[in-house]
Amino acid sequence: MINIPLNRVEGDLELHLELDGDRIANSWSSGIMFRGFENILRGRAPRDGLVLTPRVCGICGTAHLLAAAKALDMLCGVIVPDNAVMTRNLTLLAEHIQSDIRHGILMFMNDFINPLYQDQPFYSEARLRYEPFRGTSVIKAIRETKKILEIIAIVGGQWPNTSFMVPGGIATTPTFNDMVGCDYIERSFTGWYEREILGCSLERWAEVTSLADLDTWLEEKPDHTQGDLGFFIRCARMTGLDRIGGGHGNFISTGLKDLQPYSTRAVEPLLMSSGFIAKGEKFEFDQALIAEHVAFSRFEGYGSGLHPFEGITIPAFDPNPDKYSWAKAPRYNDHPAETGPLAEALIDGDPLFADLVRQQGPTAFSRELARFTRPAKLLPLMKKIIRTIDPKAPYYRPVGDIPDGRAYGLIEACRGTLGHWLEVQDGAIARYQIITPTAWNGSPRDANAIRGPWEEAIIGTSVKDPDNPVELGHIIRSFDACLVCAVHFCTRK
Amino acid sequence: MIGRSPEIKATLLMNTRIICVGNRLFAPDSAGPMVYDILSSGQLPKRVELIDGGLAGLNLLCCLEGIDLVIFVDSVQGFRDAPGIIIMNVFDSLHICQDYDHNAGLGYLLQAAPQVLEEKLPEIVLVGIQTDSDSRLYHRAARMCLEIVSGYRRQTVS
Repeated sequence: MINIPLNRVEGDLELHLELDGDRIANSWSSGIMFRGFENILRGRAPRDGLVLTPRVCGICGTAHLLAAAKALDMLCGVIVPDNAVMTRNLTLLAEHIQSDIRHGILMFMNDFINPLYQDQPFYSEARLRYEPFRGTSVIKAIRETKKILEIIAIVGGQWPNTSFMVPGGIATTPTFNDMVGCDYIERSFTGWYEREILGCSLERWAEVTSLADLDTWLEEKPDHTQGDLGFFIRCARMTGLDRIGGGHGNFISTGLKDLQPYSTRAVEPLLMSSGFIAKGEKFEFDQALIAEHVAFSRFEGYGSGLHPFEGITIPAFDPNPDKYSWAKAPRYNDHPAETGPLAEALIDGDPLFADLVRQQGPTAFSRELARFTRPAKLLPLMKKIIRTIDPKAPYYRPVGDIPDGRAYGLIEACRGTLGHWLEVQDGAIARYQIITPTAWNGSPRDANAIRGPWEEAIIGTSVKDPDNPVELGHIIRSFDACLVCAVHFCTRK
Repeated sequence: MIGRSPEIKATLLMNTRIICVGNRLFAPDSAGPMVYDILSSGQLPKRVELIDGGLAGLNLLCCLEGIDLVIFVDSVQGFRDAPGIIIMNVFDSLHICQDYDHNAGLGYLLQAAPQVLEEKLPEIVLVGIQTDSDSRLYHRAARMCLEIVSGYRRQTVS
C-alpha cells in the first residue's frame, strides 16, 4: 500500500494505492477537505448563491455564477433575453479557454520535464518550453490567457469575482464598443492559438476527423510537429499515454445550451449536445437520474443514492477506514461517469474522438488532446456570439421576488458537468446542493462499491518508481482534477 | 501644473490599487477580505482603487497593469512569533510555489508577473496579517494601507 499526495492539481487530493508488483491493483481517491458550501447557503436569501457560489472555485467562478443564475431563472420562470444568454455564454467560453490552456501548458506538460524522462529525446526541449516561470510556452500561455479573461471584465463590469449574472439576465449592458473590444481580444487570441498551440488554422484542424487524419496532420508540416499540440502528441506517444488511463467508459455532459428554441437569432439553439454514454451507447440526458452516494464518504449515511433535491450534507468524521473521502459519489442512473472535454466531444459526436476511443479506448492522451483542442471549437463560437449580440436589445427581463420552489442550473464548466440544485422555502434557501465536475471524476466508491472514474482509470497502471509516480500524475491530471479552492497563505521560505 | 502643490500633483499622477486577497469563508485565510470590508465602508483617497482579489491568484495579473503602486493585503504565516502585521516591499523572502495549482497564490503571481507583463511592473507592497482572527489588526492594517498610499505619494514628490 502506498499513499500519494498529488500536487499540481486544483486542491487537495490523496491517492491510496494497492500495488501488485509494479501494477496498481486497487485505488482509493480521497478528497481531504470538507467545505460545506451547501450548509453555508442554507437560510440565506436565494440571490446570495450568486455571490457565494463563484467562490467555490478560483478558476471557474464564472461557471458557478452561471449555474446559480440558471437555477434562479428556472425558479422565477423567466425567459432570459437572447442578449443575456449569449453574453453569459461568451464569458463562460472565455473561462473555458483560459483554463484549458493553463491546464495544458502549466500543469500537464510540466510532467514531461520529470527527471524520469531525462533520457527521452524530447526532454531538453520540454525543459525549454515548460519549466516554471522560464519556459517559453509557459510565459506565452500566461500572457495570452490573461488577455482572453479581459472579455469577462469587459462585459461583466468587474474582475475578478464578477457577479454580473442575475435571474432574468445580466446586470450590465455591454455596448457596441465593448463588443468591438471583445472581438479584438478573440481575434488576437485565435491568432496566437493557431500559431503557437495548433501550428495551423482552426479550419485545418477541423478537418482532422480520425486517428489516421491525426497522423497525417502531424507529419504534414514542421509547424504541426513544433506547435505545443504537436509536441504534446509526440511526447504522449513516446511515454505511452495513449495506452493508460482507461476507466469505466461512461461519459456525461449537459452540453452547451444557447438561445431558447423560439429565438429568431442566427445562433443555433444548441451549441453542443447533452447526453450520457455507457458502453458506447448514447442516451438522452435527464437530470432526474442523478443521485449522490455517501456510502464511502465522510457524511452521515442515508443508504443508497439521493437525488440532489433530496440531498443531505452532514459531515461526519468516521474513524471507520471505509469512509475515506470528503467528496460524495455522484452517479447517473447508478453508473459512475467521467466528465470533461473528452466526454463533451464524444457526446457531441466529434468524429476524431469517437475514432480515438473506438480504437484505443479512453486514455490520458485522448482526454488531454480533447482539452488542448477544445478552444479550436469554442473560439469560432465566441466570434459568432460576439457578432450576434445586439447592444441595443435588452439584456435583462425583470423578475420580482424569488418565489418558493425547486429549480436547478446545469452547465458544462471547464472541467465538465456542473449542477446547482436549489430549494427555496419561505423566501430563504432551504437546500442547496452542488455537484462539481471533479465530484464526478474523483468520486469515491458508491453504495454498490463501484469505484469512481479516476479510481478505475488508474487500475492496472504500471508504476516504475512509487516515489515518483509520474504515470499516475499523467492520468489524474488528464481529468484536470479540481478538488477545492485551498488556502493561499504567504509563507516564509 | 503651475499653481498646484507637489502633493496635489502627485495625487493626480499616482494611481494606486489595494488588492485584498484570501478566502473569506475560511477564517485563517480571511484577513484580506476582512480588510477589504473595512476599506470599502469608508472613503478612499482619489485615484485609489480597491479590489476584492479573493482566490483569483494568477487571474490578478491584469490588476498589475496600468498602475503605479499595488498594495496586496493577505494573510501570512511564519513571519512573526506573535500575531501582528508585516509590511514588505520586496518579495525575496516569500515562499514561491514552483508548480502552478491552487496553492500557487500570491508568490506564483509575483514571480510570474515580471516575465509576462508587457509593461513596467508597478511598485508592490505586501501588507501581511498574521493572526487567527483579530479585528483590531484588520482595522490597523486598513489604516496602514492608507498611510502607505500617502507616504508613497509624498516620497514620489520629494
